Amino acid sequence: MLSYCSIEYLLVFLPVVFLGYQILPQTARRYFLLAASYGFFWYLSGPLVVWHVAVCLCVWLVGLRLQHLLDARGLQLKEAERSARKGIRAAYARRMSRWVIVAGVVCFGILLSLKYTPFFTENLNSLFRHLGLHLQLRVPSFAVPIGISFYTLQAMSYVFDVQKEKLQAERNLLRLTLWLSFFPLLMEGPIARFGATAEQIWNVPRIKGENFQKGLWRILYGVMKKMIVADRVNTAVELLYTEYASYDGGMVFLAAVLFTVQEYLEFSGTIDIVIGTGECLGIFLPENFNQPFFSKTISEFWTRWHISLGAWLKDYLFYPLSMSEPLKKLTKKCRTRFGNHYGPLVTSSIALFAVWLFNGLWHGAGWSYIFFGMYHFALIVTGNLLAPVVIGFCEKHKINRRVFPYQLFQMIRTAILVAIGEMFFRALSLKHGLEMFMIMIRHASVRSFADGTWLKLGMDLQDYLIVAAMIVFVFVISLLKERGCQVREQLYRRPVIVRALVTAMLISLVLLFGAYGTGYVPVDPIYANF
Amino acid sequence: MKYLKQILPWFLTLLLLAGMLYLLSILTGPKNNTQEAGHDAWAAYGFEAEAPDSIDMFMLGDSESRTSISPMELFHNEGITSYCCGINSNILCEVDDMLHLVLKEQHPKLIILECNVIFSPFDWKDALETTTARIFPVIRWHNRWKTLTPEDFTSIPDYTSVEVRKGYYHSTYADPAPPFLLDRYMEASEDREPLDGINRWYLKKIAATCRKQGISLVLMSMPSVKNWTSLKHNTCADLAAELDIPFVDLNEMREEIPIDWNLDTRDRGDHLNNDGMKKVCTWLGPWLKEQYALEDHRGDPAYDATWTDMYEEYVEWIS
Repeated sequence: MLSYCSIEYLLVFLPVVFLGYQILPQTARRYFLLAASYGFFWYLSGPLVVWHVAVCLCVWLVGLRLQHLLDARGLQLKEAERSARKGIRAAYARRMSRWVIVAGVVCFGILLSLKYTPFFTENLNSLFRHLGLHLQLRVPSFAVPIGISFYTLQAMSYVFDVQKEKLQAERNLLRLTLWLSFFPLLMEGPIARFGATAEQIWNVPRIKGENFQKGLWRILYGVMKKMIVADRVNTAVELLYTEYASYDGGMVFLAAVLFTVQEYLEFSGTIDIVIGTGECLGIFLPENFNQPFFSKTISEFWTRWHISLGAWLKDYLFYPLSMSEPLKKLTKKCRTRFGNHYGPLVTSSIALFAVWLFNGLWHGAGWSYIFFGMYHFALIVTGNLLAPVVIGFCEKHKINRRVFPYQLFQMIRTAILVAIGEMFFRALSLKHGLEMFMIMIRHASVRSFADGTWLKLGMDLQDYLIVAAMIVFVFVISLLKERGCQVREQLYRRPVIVRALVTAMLISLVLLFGAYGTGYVPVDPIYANF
Repeated sequence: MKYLKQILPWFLTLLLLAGMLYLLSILTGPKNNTQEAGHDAWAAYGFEAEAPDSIDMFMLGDSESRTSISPMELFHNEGITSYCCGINSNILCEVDDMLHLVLKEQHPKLIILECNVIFSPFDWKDALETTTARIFPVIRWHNRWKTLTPEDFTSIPDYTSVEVRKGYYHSTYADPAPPFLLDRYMEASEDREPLDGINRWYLKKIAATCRKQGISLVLMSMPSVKNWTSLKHNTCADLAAELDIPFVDLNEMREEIPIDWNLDTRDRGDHLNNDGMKKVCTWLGPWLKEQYALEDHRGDPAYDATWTDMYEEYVEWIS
């Protein structure tokens, strides 16, 4: 599969886009970007691009309809008596909800049909078998367009935002389409909001030297993450996840850690390339990672990891559910019965359950993904429940929760819990994931590290060392960012020779230490299939 | 001035990058054409250790070429100096690259291009990688960072290890070809094996290079029941006619080269073993002399050290 790290993208597609973009007048650039984006989409998904066009058309029409209703409501409210306004609002809210449902049915309908029908059919067949029914449905198989889960959420965020009057509906179909198809966002997000990005993408400026230089550094940083680490550990990850039964708990734990490293550096590396591409063009896309492994709790982790998905779920699922009338009433009841801490927890847990079920399913059509969602749900709820107990325990035993050792303990604990979750996420099935977990617990051992098994996974000592060195490099950059240091900003203020040296060194490091050529198979973009 | 100010940083970046890649290429490149020095195709590159202008014929291609012809055998029988530059699973852009390397210090009279490589698929990315690696070898040797020694930091690549087998890959093992392969071996057909545009382009490029250098080019397919078909034969015949070069299909010469597919193959009809190679060389030597008047270097003192004196060692190797 073509990735943002491939020769096609970096050495052919991007230069052509940059060149075309720069030589065209501003009014033509937006159409050029649109053509380039659909060309990119076509290259990856061929005729499946029609599904994307259908989604664009649907949300554009629904948006216009919602705007029409909002305008009509505004007029009626102006003329109506105060006592009648509530009724008008309710009537229009119902009508608008119907149109939102139409958009939801079309957008999520396409997503569910293409991506989830085989999963649901298989489970139905399994259910029929268990019930002793002689009914077996044919399991269909559909080709799925690239990034369908990303652009579906992005499209629906536009509809919700129009409904909530956070933005005016877009009258120009091409403008909406460009925002929904902008090529850097297509494969792995981030899930951009119309209000924050559409204007930038449409009214694109000329390429500026500063933006281009900084964007290029960001792209190179992403390429380093992907090619030096993610592609290098791929052989070991493949082997450990398919042959886990032949290894002890130590190696299974290594599998969990290696995949977590691979996934983080592949996904965040791709996002670096995506954001860097945008920056080169003068378009500033939203961040998707904020040093997630500095998180002290799982809740915090999900505000730092895949931020755009977390924000989407919070804004369009968690809040609407929490603020719904039935849950509000339930909160009131629970507050009186269980107190101010545990009372609201009950209702927020109901909303959280829906969020994590959706999150799990969004990642893929499989029980392992649902389990992944539920695992994080359980960890967050447990964390919330135990929070007062932990605070009480620390106060009683005079443990200072603000000192670095305690916070380091929290970070390591969170990272381990995340790695275990990622193991279920990567496992070939939920059954495999559970088996791996049991091996990790029952056969916990460091023998495989002592007898050299860890060096027979397609990675030699030098591979581990370069991976470790790159992790340290990423850690240092993350630490600087965490402390508010803008590394690229600082670098850009240096003399030209230093900037040139940094660029040349980054490219040289990729070419020297990158896992490419004989013996390496580049890992497919992990999130592109979601 | 403003334009210059915009261009300067990027020009400087490219200059520094080129410098870094040049230095890294020297650092990572194997310092000799030996396995110990970290060369992954040391046998094929052994010609670089031969005296300049000493080799009259080169065989280019994939594993079929390096298992079917032994230069030492041709030298011992006919006095022809040749070298096998075949590399396993080779592709045409790599063959083209190898040809350019060969022509740096050698001026052969004849190049035999083994035809199986013509059909090996590759794309523009492979071609780009090969071309870039020619300019900056670090692209090819970058993985050697793992095995760098202090010597790598203090010396430059210098290939001096003379290869006894001159690129030939010997095997005494015999594993008969399965009957189903023999049944369909060279089944008559009028169809053609499809050939990608990029393969055709590189073949024309190789032919043009040879023509420009005054080198005779021959397309030759080595016996292989697994790899060779009438379809490939037909395509090669068309290509040879189009490029006006000879095409010799050893798979069709069963009387002149009586390969016994029970005894003369090392891997079920894929490649020949020593016995198969000897049959090929017995026919090929006189044919080359007759067709291309290649010089007999036996008795020439200039060839004593690297050819005549090495024959005994070669015999030991292959037995």
